[in-house]
Amino acid sequence: VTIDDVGSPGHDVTTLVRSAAQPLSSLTVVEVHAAATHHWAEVRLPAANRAAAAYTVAVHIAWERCSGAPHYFDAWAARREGGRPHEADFLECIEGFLGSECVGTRDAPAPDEHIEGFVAEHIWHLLTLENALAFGIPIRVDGPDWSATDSGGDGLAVYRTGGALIFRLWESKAHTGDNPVRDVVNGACRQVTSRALRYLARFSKVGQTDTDPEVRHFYGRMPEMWKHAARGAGGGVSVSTASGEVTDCFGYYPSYWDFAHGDQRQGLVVTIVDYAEFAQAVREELWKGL
Amino acid sequence: VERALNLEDLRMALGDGGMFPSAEELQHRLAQAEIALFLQRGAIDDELLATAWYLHAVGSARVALALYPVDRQRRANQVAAHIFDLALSAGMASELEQRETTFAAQVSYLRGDLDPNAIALYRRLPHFEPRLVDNPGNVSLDVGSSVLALDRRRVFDRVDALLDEARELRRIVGVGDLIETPYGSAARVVEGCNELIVHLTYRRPERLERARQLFDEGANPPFAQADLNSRWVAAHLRDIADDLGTASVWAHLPPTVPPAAGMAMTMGDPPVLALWPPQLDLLKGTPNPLDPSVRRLVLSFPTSAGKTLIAQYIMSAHVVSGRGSACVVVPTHSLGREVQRDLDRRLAVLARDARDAGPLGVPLPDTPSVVVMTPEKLAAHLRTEPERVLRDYSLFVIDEAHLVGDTDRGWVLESALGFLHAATSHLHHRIVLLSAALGNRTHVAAWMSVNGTPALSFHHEWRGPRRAHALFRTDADWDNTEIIEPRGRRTLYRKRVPLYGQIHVRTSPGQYESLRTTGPVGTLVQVWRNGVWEKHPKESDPAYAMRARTATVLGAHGSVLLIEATKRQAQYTAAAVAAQLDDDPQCAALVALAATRLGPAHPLVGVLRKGVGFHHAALPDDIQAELEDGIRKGTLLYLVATTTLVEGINFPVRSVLVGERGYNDGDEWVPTLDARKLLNAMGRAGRAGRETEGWIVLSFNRKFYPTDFGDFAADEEELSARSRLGTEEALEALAAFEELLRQSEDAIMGTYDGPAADFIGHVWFVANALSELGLAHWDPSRVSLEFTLAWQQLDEVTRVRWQWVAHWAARRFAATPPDTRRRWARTGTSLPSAMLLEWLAQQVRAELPLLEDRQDPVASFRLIAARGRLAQLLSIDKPRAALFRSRRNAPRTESIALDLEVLIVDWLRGREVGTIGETHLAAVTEETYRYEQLSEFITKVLEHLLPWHLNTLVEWINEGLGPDDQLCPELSAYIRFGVDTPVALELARAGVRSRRLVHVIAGVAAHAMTASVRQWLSEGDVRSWRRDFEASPTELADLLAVTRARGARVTSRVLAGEVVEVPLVIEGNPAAGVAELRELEEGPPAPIAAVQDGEVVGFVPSGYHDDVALLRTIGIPLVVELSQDMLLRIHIDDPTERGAWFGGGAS
Repeated sequence: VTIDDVGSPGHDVTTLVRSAAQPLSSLTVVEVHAAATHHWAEVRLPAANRAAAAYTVAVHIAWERCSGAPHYFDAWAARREGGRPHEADFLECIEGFLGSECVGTRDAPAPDEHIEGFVAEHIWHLLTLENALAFGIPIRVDGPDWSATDSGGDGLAVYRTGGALIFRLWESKAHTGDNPVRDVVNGACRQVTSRALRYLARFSKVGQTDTDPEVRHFYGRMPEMWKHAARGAGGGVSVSTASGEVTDCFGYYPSYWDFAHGDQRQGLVVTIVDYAEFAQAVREELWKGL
Repeated sequence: VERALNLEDLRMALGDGGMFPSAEELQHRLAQAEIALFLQRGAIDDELLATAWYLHAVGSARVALALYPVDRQRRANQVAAHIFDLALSAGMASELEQRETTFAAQVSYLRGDLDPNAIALYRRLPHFEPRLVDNPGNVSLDVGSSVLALDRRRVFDRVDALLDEARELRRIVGVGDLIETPYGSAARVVEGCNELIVHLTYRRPERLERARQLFDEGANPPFAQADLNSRWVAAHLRDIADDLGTASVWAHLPPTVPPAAGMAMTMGDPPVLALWPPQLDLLKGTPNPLDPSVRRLVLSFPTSAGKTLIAQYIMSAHVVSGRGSACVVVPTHSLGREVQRDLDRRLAVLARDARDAGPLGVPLPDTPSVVVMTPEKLAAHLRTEPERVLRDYSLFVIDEAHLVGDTDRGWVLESALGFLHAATSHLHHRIVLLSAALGNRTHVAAWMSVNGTPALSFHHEWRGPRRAHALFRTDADWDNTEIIEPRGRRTLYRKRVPLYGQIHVRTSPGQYESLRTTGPVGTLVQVWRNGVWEKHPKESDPAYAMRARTATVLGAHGSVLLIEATKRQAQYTAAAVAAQLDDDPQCAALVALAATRLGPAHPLVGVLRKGVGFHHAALPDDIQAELEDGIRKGTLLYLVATTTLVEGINFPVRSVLVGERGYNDGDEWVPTLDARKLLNAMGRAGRAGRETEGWIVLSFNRKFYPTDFGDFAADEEELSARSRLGTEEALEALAAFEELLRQSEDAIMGTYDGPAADFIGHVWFVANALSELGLAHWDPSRVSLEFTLAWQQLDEVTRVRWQWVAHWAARRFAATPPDTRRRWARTGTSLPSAMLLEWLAQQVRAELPLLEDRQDPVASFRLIAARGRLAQLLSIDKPRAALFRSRRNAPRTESIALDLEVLIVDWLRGREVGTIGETHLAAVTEETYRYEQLSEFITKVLEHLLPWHLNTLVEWINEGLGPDDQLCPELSAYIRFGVDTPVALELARAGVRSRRLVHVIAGVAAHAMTASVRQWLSEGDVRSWRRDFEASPTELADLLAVTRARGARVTSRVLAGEVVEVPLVIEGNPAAGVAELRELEEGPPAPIAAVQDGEVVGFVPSGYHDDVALLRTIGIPLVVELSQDMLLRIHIDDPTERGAWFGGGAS
């Protein structure tokens, strides 16, 4: 897509930029596995789609971090498409969201591990919204993130299945080291075990202010549902990795949590060759708009 | 701690089943965590923390969803907050996590009805001033935490700064309302916080409603969904706004009370924006005790439960209702001073005041809104001016009312209170009894019945901070005993045994954890004598030295109050604590002061260097005040005190360590800490709003038994206030008196002292006061007995016996000439003592023509003291303090020869206590004992007994004389304060406690002063006083209070919206225009400077210092400008006038 300098930000640019971003699920190869103890999806990014995927993820991050606020996203999009530089004071504002502690700026980039984790969280978010796990279109996805550098508890997806509301609490990780992906999954599971209530307590409180009485009530019950491993509760672990060895990465998954049904333990492994470089490419896309 | 770890409560909080630990397991692990933290090696594991978050979610679930029973939510919040609190103490992974967890814990403490702990946690947060542009979520957490701590000053300050930032952001982004941006949620949180505080301060229900709406918008903003922290904060504050709306001072103000009463609370210092649970329960009740129709009230709250503030609220409500002034009765001078100062600051916002009643014998001050006095002064004023007391004062608040059962002073209070109750039973007057330790409330409420209806009685057990109870002892390590063979002059075998410290901490009823020190804390030495091993007391480490080690462990967590049985013990323990510590530079000012006042060799000076003080009656008043101030402000970490401090002053500490609870006097064990005093001491542990937990440790010098924990629990009986007329001593005195009376009716006039004499004096006082009130038709013999507490407690037979005494006393009163009986009844002494005073007055009157300068206090005193009259005056009460012994173990009957008259003249002349001691008590070689005796003499004789009797004596001497012929009418006050010039007396009476200072000022003023001393002083300021008078912080604070320009009513006028002009002491080059007020980093008290462009251009003069400082503390934003004629123009930047702060219409 080639776009001319359109000057001041406007919704037309927003629309254009967002529509230019293809669904991530359409750029990847998705394979869903359903075992009795857990369900997981294996997602691979073909090399040919790498740039498009980085662009899609960057647009998603920009949109999410600005919460869709037109003045911000539009300005980012216009600048990214070659528009005028931001005024210095506005740049400071927009950097607060898009050049935050996980991204940084060209002059002061954030540590690599921050951007890698940050991108991993948004990949999960995007694929969940796009129903890559074929679990259903969530009616609401909260997160990421309580804080950009906060560890764990990255997102909460709420679905309606069979007339009832259910939730899955996700933890997203980036894997760039030499250790097996399984270790990352296990670490994430332990993290969910210890941190789940911290996140659920806070998600729960926010959700109790929803305008829909059913949603309010459901959010209010979440911590209790987790405590009792109720049918409507569930957890998930997502890993973005460069490793091709992912077949048994959820091998120990059933030993975590007391859930009785396979769909209460969900997994997502996104394999991207040279994932660290991919994360930096996403960051580069973000910086283009600053 | 036991309260927090109650198993039933934990069960209720956790609910059934699920993944978390059982209630029993949770109880155990929490206890372990508490102890680990105490030992400073604590950490909270993830599972415990996860449990806390679960409980927090249960507790803070929106009530309207009806997910959990309200009681379970409260318990869940309490447990959640407790775990969070421990985790926060142990340390968090990041500052952000600390802030999030603190906010959650604050919410849970508030919703768990433990409000002060939400403030205490807030105070632990590091300084933080985030900007919206960097991280709006951090802004919400920051301002949200400030609101939960009701820190109005900070909320308004932060909102001011954020308002500027918001204005700038709107311009940069090009929006009219930040809700259109990712700052939307945070902006709504900040604005909502402002609205909430505005409502709590000013009662603006529409602003509360707006706060709710803003929080709703903040929780679900259109373009800030990613700002989860702001949304979370908004969601909680939405619910808290409802709670605070209900807990607001305004919510329970009865329609019969003007709103100004609420303003006194919300605008006074400290601001009270919301009430604590027991206060709320009290005010929600029917009838509401603020309502003037509640005429008798008995309030029993534990220490740190907000009793004082409720009393202030009742008094504020009373005085603004225009029903007369209030009189507060407190047990000690120092507490009275504190109460008066606090009330005065609160009432300043209403242009009202609170004053001290002044010394004994001086008429009441010209009707302030509130007057503060001791029971003895109340009794004196009722005796001498009952009509005025009842005309001017219509609310009587008796603090620490359980003192009515005190062996020494109880009868004075019972007598005064009984009369007050009787004389006002048909009037609109109100009586409020307050106590933290009153077991027999029913008796007391029945005593205060009006027309057969008992007083409204309210009792609450609530307290904010948790309390850990522990027992300390030492444990001998017999396995590592070292045997030492006789050598040289040591002819006996010795055994050295290492002693380890043991602390047993009660974790729940019937359960405790035992801790042992890792190394020995001392050594036990035994000698083999006569076939047995005996303890060698001199070579063994004393128990206090080992206690001192425990004290320093407690000191790692905050201030420690150690209580010992005797003055000497207190000093030894203080020295032992100090020996373990390094020098504490924070105490430098205190050290310098003590060295000047007591001499550099005084033991207090040495321990103060290490941050340790000892406090007992043998120290001068002003030094005691400095020590109290030091521990209150945190400059002093350890204070070792005798039990006198326990009830004397109102300052809580982090930990209380109780040492010896009595001492041996010969073969007799004299207890110094009874159940009530222990309860009071325990009440000091844990400062509400400053910390969430307090420790109370009792020491034992023997084997540990779990039943020893029983010492912490006082039963109702032990805390019962018993009338002195029902004591064994009183009944013996009654029997003896009955015997005398059977022999002769003259027994009435021949009983010098003891309970019978006191009761006869009481009957005369009642009879006379009734007569002065125009109630002579009432039967004094009935009134004097039937309105006492004794009447509720005595059996029928004993009642009749005392009735008989009353009957004969009243009969004798009626038979005495009116003038004589009136005079005698007003003395407050026994009738024989009154007769002695009468005789002495006649003698002095006869000698009066010999005296040239009758206004000279020294000459006047000498005249009275001459011809053995001083000894006769002192014989009235036979004070033991007037007899000095050369050494501690000298026989009681053996006292040193001393010319008391000369000593007292030196006292009047302003000689320092040290000099007086050296001059007159050189025979007492032990310096500490010398000052101990001298201080006791000063406190009991010079400041109390002598002025009391001199007052009567001088009044009688001067009867019928013209002003010029009178003997120094204020002699008793000169003696009371130890001063000899009118200037010094004026300052002392106005409230300057330091005798040194008033003498210094009087000396300088004699040469320099042209107008009144206060006028002259107010031309100076804190800095010049500090320099010219070498004044200490408390001395300066006293001077500021004395010179305050009360008439200017600066505080009340500014708060009412006026522009108030205040003079400026110019320094530098001020220009007309905006200025800023800033406290300089000097002092305390810190001078308040006016600053322009970063330069100091002048100072707020002393007369206005306290008002301006108060205005700054209250936290309403101020606008300060310098006028053309260099006056500071101060007015409030009224927060209620602001519209939408972050929205389109913002200014």
